[in-house]
Amino acid sequence: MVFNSLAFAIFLPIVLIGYYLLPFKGQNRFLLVASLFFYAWWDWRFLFLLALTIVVDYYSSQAIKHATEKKIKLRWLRLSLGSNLLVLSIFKYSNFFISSFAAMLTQIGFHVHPVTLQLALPIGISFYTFMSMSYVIDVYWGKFDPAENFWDFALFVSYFPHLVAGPILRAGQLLPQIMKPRTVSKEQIRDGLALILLGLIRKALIADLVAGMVDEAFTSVHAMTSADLLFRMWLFTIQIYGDFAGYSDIARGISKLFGIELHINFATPFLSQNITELWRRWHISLSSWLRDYVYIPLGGSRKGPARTYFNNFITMIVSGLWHGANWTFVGFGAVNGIGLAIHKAWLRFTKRTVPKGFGTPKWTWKSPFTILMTINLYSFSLLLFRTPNFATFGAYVSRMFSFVPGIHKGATLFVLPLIVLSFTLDILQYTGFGQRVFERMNFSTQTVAFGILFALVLIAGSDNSIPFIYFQF
Amino acid sequence: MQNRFISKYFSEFRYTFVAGICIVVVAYAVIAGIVLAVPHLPLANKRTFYGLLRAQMAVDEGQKLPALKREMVLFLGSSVVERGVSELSMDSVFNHLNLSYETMNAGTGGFCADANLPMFRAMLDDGLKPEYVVYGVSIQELNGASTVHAFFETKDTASVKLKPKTLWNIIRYGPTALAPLMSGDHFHQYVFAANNAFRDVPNLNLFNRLMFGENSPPRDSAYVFNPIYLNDLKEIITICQSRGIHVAIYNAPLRKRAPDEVDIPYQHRGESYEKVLKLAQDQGIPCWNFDRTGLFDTSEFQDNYHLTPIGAKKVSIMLADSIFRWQSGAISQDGMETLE
Repeated sequence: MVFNSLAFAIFLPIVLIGYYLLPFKGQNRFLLVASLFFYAWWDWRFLFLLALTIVVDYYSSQAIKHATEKKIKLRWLRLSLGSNLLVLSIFKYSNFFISSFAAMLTQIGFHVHPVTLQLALPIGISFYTFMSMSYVIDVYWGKFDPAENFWDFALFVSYFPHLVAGPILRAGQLLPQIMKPRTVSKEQIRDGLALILLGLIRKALIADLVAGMVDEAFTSVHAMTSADLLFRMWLFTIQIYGDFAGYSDIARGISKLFGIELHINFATPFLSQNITELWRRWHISLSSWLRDYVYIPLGGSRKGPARTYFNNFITMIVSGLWHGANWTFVGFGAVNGIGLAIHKAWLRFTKRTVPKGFGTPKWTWKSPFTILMTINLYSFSLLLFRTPNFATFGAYVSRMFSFVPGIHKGATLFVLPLIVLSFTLDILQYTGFGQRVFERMNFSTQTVAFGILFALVLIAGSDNSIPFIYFQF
Repeated sequence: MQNRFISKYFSEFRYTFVAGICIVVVAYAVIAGIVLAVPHLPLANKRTFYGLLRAQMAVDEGQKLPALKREMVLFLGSSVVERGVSELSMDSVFNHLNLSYETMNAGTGGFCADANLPMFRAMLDDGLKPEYVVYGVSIQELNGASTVHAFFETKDTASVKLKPKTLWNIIRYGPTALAPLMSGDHFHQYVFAANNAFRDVPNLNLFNRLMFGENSPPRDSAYVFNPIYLNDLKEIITICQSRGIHVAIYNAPLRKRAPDEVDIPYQHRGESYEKVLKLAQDQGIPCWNFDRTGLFDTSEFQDNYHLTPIGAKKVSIMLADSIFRWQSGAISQDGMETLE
């Protein structure tokens, strides 16, 4: 079930009514059943896989808590991590490993006919597996006591607003909200509805509208001019941002209606002045997950400059692989890893440090240029994210840099207003200006404003509800 | 016994639902208001809208072509043309063959093949001067049930919404593009036939009319040949010949019958093609058949009729090749034996 579908438009009010009619304990059980139904709508068979993750990680965390010896705790942690990684390996990476191994054998002269597994990729597997793994790791590190109630933990992993495309929540953020009776305010509901609408605008008015033009570039590279390919590279950046930030907004908005707050996942990433800042503002839940569970355990920046650059690079390779089982995703990670390492080296060379928080440097006259440079570097790496193979990537890049003259006016003119719309929404959202404007309105004015925006989504939205890109991860 | 959540938060519960319902009501009121205020605006059938805007764009682009010293190859037809002919792919082949042609796809989607003739006349009146006209036919247009324009409650449901090109057009032309939307007279140069088509569909309630339209896809058993489209096609050929425009027909590919998909009148595809072929033979014009066994894989179709971008690229390259052979003098007419 996708958020931008008729099925979900029916599902959500029913779940809301049931939720409000029940007492606290019943609410959690009801949300759990609703979440499992939401997931089963896509393919009920993969509920068993979700259940396996929940059961293994719940009992592992309990065993870690009650074990007195460190050795035993570690054994349970390994069991949990091993089980999660095994599920991921089988369902997401098995064919990638098999075909890569076969390709390697072919390279050295052995011709093999690899047998690949005909397995469907369980939707959202990378999201819920990472959430569950971080929970067990945190329990092992003693950051908090595990949830006593199995059903609370099950709801934490399977809570439907975040289940299939994040954000990747930490137990510390969500579990306390699940375990305690919740409250809900009219302000939360208003903000929730606004976020849902904002997410729909990002998805239907921005991401889905540009999807066709982006697809065209990758299926007809040789028919495009260099400028066309450059504009479509930017368009894909806009598409994926609209798609994923739209999903995150809708997820946060829906959750607010239940009185549960989810953390922001994007914070004006395209106003970043360098690649480090961009990764602190882009897919924040994944970036911070990788920082805490990959980069820091590898040594972070504590083991000298060379090791820091290496750790950055490895972390981004993991990020690339998290996104997809293809060498192009590894390439996407590698480009960003190299970018981060170079930026760290530059900071060291110029004797500067990354400010805390999002790492935003002081704004100067150079800022617009550094922003443009950052957007272009990231957009370039996203070509690897989008392209099906390196051959297409090579063809795309070589044609883009061949300076083939001419321009398809549609793409040029299409990209500019959508960039403006995307930035405007960002600025309105993150400066809080949009919220302040809505707060000043009375109920009727708010409703009319929301209604007009919703009509715009219905009228001008794209032809079909295109699934969210991040569902495949 | 715990208190229900609603007993403490009834006001919030009411707020949620009242706000939600009001937003939906306002949104649909806005849409209904636009439809009632500008009756010719086919919000319900946005594919048509999109297709017709393409036609409008073809006129605008066509007027610029003389400066480029390129000759226009204009494609007409229904959504199989609109979504099946890739201008970029064709032009790339033309460039490769050193032909100074520019492709213009003016296919009108939404089963509005009946819009083609009046639209074509309007385009010529607006000063369009194509060198070649290629008309793509699909079996769907040769029966009597084709004036419906959308699917509802069928497996290949198409939620009909405004297409990106519409926004593209508005962005590109600004007030120029908005003007015909507001002016019935101007707008009807392009849309009156399509508009009438969707108005005449019986038993439409307001919701369906606004958002979906009604579906009655023709089945084998319900297939009735209706000469209206063939007559329109004849008229288009006559107009072209009287103006010295070269004209050709091609038969668009159909996906292999899939048992779990909505049925289409496969049994009559031969009957349809026979009529088209006969027309081409009578007029002495090329007739290319791309509905041939093994030519297209099932994966190259988005649905029964429409190709994916990859399929569209493939057929476009084939079309460009056929046009290349045609401009060097070959009038090829694929016989019935080539039909799948």
